Amino acid sequence: MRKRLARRWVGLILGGALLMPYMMAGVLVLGWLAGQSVNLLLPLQLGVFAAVLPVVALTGLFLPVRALEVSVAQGLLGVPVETPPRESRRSWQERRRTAAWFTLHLGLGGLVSGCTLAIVPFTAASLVLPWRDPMGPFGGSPSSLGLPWPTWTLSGLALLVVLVFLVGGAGALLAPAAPALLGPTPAERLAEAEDRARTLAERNRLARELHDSVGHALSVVTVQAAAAGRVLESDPATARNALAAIEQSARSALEDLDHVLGVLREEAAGRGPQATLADLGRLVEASGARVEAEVGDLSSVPALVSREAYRIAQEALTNAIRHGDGPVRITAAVTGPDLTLEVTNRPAPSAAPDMAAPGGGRGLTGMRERVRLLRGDFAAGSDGGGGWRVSVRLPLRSSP
Amino acid sequence: MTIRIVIADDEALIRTGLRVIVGSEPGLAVVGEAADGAEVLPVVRRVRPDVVLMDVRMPVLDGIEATRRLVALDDPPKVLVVTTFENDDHIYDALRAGAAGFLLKRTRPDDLVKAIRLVAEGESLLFPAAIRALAGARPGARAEVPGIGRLTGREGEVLRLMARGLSNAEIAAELVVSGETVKTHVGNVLTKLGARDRTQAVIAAYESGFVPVNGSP
Repeated sequence: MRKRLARRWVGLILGGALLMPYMMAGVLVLGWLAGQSVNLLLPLQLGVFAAVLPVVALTGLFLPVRALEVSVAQGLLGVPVETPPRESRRSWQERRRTAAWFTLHLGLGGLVSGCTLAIVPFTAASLVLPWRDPMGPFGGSPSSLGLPWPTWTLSGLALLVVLVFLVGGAGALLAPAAPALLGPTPAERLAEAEDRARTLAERNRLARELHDSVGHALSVVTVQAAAAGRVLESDPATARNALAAIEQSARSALEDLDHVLGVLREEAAGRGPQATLADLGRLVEASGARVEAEVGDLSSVPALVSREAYRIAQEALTNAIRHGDGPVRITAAVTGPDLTLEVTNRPAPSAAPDMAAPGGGRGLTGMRERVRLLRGDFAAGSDGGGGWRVSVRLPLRSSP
Repeated sequence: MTIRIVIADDEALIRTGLRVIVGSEPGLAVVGEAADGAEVLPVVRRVRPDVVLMDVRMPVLDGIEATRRLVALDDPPKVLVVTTFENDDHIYDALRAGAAGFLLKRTRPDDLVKAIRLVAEGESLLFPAAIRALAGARPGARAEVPGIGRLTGREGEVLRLMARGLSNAEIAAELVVSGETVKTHVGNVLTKLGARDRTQAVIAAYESGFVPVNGSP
């Protein structure tokens, strides 16, 4: 309790210290206005104090003081304030809150600092004075200041008590305001929640991919290996078939694992700028496949939609190259309020029945999920001419 | 007496693998296969197996719904759910639908065979710990089971021992009564709870809170 009071006191004095430049500037301006050096009397001081507070509020809107104030609130005031997310751009809501807190902290801090500077020396003097005065306690008569010495000593001590209560009160006033003014704004909370949801959806998608591909293949491998072991001597032909199946399953599992790990690596590296539709050309080039790309003017596509569309195109292209045969056709264009994306190719004869199965092809689930999150439409299936087509429509603006 | 088995799995390689493992075991015979949940019913009607090895995720009709339809038959076979992963919500759904137990595809062949025999016998619970974990992982699954209040003290004891995975013979030894008496008690418990088999009775015991999921049953 006493420790907390001391820490809060320091926090308030710090606020007073931060106020000092404002006060000094205020005094200078006042002197300039009055045309002479100003006598620093109390009423004048209070006037300057009141005059600089709006300036404090104004600068609080622009100075990057939030991080500093959060550490003061956490460390010195002892308030649990959530550390705000690092953001490149500050919203006005956040600026207003920070400015309000900054003003409150510096204002109360200034008052407390002023009182501390005045009262502590006074109390000290009131305790020392009787001993130095020849008419003091040992003289038994009123001091030279015209009051009896016990009055001096008592009032000195009483003021000290008042100061302690003032500090406690200012701390109690300041502390509850900290979480509300310095904590995350609703917009920041929302952005954070969206971030979390996106990560979670991505993780779920990967888990499902691992489950569907690698888990499935390893099950086949386990069962077939157990079977081969059972009939190795009695039925070598069956055992040989089982071994061939194991080889095939393990190989395709490795391919799938490669793909999932690729996505994970990309995500780990993806802290930087993420690829958008503008990178489509590079993607096509890197794929090494024969691709006919027909890309319209995509400048009006918002970044989020563009990023997701790129990932969908990437996924569709990967599938087309893996399962397909011959050239791949990619078209992307803005039509009305939507972005449309289409990837068409001719499936390889062996892959055709598998891909025609409902939900067939691992990547499709992922693509469908991305599209659903953006409230678009997704279709994958035969294009009627023996080819395979993935077509996606994404609204440019997500209307409520 | 040979245990007759039907294998339902959409993956041909899993079916042939299981068929080889089970078929090489004396006393077990694979008498039919199905490639999806909808195929299972006609196959079972035709060949009348004792046990069905049922995959959960299958096209057309999944293993849960197929299990539900199988147990509604007269003289239904025991259903043993075979899945890839242990922490799978579908396992619990399948058990509630009436499956007698579950197995992982990575189970060793010897354990697979043992499980099939155990389920065919129907006298003890497969993987009691796993069933408890699955019941516990379902918050809010607490259900009213009206029959549970009508159990006698002895029947309650028997149900608790069933939940621990004890077989009829082990319960008899534990309670120092004859095997026949235990059989009667188990029969009464199943009737009062409206349960088809031990697994369902134990699930009801967990879900009603009669046997706590946390702590030793």
